[in-house]
Amino acid sequence: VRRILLVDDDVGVRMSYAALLEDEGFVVVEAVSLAESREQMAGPAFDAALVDLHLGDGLGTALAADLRARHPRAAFVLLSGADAPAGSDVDLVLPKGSAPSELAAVIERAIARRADDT
Amino acid sequence: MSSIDSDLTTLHRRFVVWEATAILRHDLRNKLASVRNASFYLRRKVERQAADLLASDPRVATFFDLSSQELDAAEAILGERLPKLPDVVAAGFDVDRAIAGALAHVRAPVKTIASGLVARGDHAELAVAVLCLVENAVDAGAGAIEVTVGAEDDSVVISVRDDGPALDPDVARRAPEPFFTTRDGHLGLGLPIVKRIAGRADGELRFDGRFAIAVPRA
Repeated sequence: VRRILLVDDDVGVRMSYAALLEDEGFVVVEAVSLAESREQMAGPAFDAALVDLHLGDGLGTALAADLRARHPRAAFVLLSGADAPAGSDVDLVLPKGSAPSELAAVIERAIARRADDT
Repeated sequence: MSSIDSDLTTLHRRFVVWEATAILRHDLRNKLASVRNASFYLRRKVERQAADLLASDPRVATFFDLSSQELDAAEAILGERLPKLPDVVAAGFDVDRAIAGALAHVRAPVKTIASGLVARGDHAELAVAVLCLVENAVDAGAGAIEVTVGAEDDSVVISVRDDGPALDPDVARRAPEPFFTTRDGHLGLGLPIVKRIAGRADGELRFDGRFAIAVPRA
């Protein structure tokens, strides 16, 4: 079973993405901020993190290095409502308007890409 | 007023529009994403567990389709019809000249000392950022305002200092939030614009008791 860290400070976005992912068989751990995400990263391994760009306490991209350090095999997927910066630690950028039917495949693709890189 | 001054006023106004639409675009996309995801989830549940409902009332499927189409239309409006920030054109520029361009628009005397520094970015955008910072100080009732420029490692840091009362820490923390203002008749977009311009130049908005903008040194 894939474990996903889902980080977004908008409750509606978080709830709806969690529902879609759980419906596809993923185990979803939710966080609302950088600080809460880092607490969750101290726990069991994740297969991927789906992270909003703009969080209340900073940019979601700041979590990429933490994820690499704690869970090096986990894919970092940046969720963005605007043009998102692609960085070396970002495995994939997922625009928020993307088709929900493709969400699971996008996450799996990011996980596979990360596995190829490690 | 020279054509350069006139261009700066126009650019300032455009940044107000761009910033407001960028914020609305971001916030509305969040809401549209929630609705799109929720609608998809509900449709899949109905198809899997209540297929008889779809068979007995064709409008259920029609309305699921309509929701999806309307969301696509709303996305298209946000993505294509609202004004967008143009790509930044970065080049080395004279920081003192950019500051002078900004101060020409300020209705109060502002002290500044030439730095001779050269930064990388868009000089007109930096002038708009300085104008926003100085106008903040003027609007707060400051009497003596000074724009200081210094080099820090690979950055040029432009600070606006004044003799006004120190900013309340909670207000300072919230001040860069879009539409946050403590003054009647203000939009609360000045600091978000400064933050945006700094980010476009690979720099940042700073606060150390006063707001400052740091941009890469050329």
